[in-house]
Amino acid sequence: MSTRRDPELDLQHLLNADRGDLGRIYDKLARAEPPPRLDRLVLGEAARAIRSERQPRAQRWLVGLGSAAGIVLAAGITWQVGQQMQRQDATDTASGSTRSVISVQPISAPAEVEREAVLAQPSAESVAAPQAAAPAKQESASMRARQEKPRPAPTPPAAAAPAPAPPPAPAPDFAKSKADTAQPTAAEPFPATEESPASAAGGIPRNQADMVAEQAPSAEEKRASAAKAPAPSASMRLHRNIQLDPEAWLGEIIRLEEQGRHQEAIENLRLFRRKYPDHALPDALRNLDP
Amino acid sequence: MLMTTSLDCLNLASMGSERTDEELMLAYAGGDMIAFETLYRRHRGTLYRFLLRSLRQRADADELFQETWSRAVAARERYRPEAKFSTWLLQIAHNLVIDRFRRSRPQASAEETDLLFSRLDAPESEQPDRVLSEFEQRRRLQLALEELPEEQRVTFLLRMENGLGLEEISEVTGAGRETVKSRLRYALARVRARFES
Repeated sequence: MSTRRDPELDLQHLLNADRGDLGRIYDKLARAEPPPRLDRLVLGEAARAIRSERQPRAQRWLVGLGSAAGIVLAAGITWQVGQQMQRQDATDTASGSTRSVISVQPISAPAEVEREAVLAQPSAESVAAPQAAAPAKQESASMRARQEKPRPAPTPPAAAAPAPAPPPAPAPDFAKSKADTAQPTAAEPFPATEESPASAAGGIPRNQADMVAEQAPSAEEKRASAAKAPAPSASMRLHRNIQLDPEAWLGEIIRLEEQGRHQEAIENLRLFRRKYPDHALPDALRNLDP
Repeated sequence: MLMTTSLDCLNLASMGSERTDEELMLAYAGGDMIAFETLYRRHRGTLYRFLLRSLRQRADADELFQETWSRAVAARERYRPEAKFSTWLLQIAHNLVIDRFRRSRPQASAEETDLLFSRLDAPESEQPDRVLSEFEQRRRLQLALEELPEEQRVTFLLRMENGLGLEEISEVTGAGRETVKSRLRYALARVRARFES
């Protein structure tokens, strides 16, 4: 006699909580455990996963901060460079040596006036250059002769009207300065030397003052020392003229033109036209109007 | 230092033992390493034995054990507590096991299974299982497990080792409930056959 196992019954026993007789045998099987090496590997990987999750967040924050800082820095540099280039352009359009001109401006001069004076310079120089070229050669020759010979007593330009061919006051001095130095100096456009401004301003020229000082040092000491003192530069005179009322300024321009200081008169007139565009010009200055 | 020994792990893990698996997994996803250590302590043994008895090779079991946890760690942010953690973990392990089976050798044929069932129809008097020693019972069960076709072995192990019910086995393996029942019936028949051989 034989009995057959019922597969359904066997399955029911297996699905019972104790899993039947096979469950009891199964529980007695060796209970293998993962080796410690695997424990370390798994736990290490789990820990690294958390760490690496935190790190990129910090890095992302740093990258964001770095980018923002970079943008701010780049914008600052761009703005700075732009400002410098604008200043450079303004300076370049004026002349290559305007910076030195600015350096001789009186500190008290208002910035606006200074800027106008500086801007006015290049055109004056460019106009003066061809006219000054020929007298410059003559002047350099006469300069050498003057150094060799005893200097004759020069007369002021106003008083020298009857004298034969008086040299134009500012331009020859300017050109002479260029020719003598043979290289551009800082004070070229506005020769702040004692010589030319003094003559241009109608004061006693340095040579004359020197002679007076030599002839009567004790009697004329104060006068000589006054003559040797730095005379106002052309830009300073320009600045002074700007502060005059329109009529007085026009009178000054006419006077400059009459004295043969043509370039200075043109510069003054140009600034005058800029400051008083609607002011009528006298007939004497119409021809000068640029 | 987050790298701890397994002993440290067990000590630290006891701190979070009152929490459910799902709470621990969510805590780990939020950066709580202690929660993971507790979770690991709870499931390391059953998972390892499931893998070892499914694959029969310790080297394979070691490899897939590490891979299973590695995938669980990588998927921690996608884990949702609606899924039971043990089922979710065993799903990962089961998929790895099936992939390994597919790469290693073909499944047992249906003919082999039918032959096995015919052998079960032996008289009870000729079935010597009750007289086998305990050692011999364990040895035969071990051999029977090793000889089971892979799908049946995995299904049988999910019931015996992990204590899963039909629905849970169905969820882990992706097979239908009736398929699971069928696999369990065939597995039982083969094991009985080994005991009676």
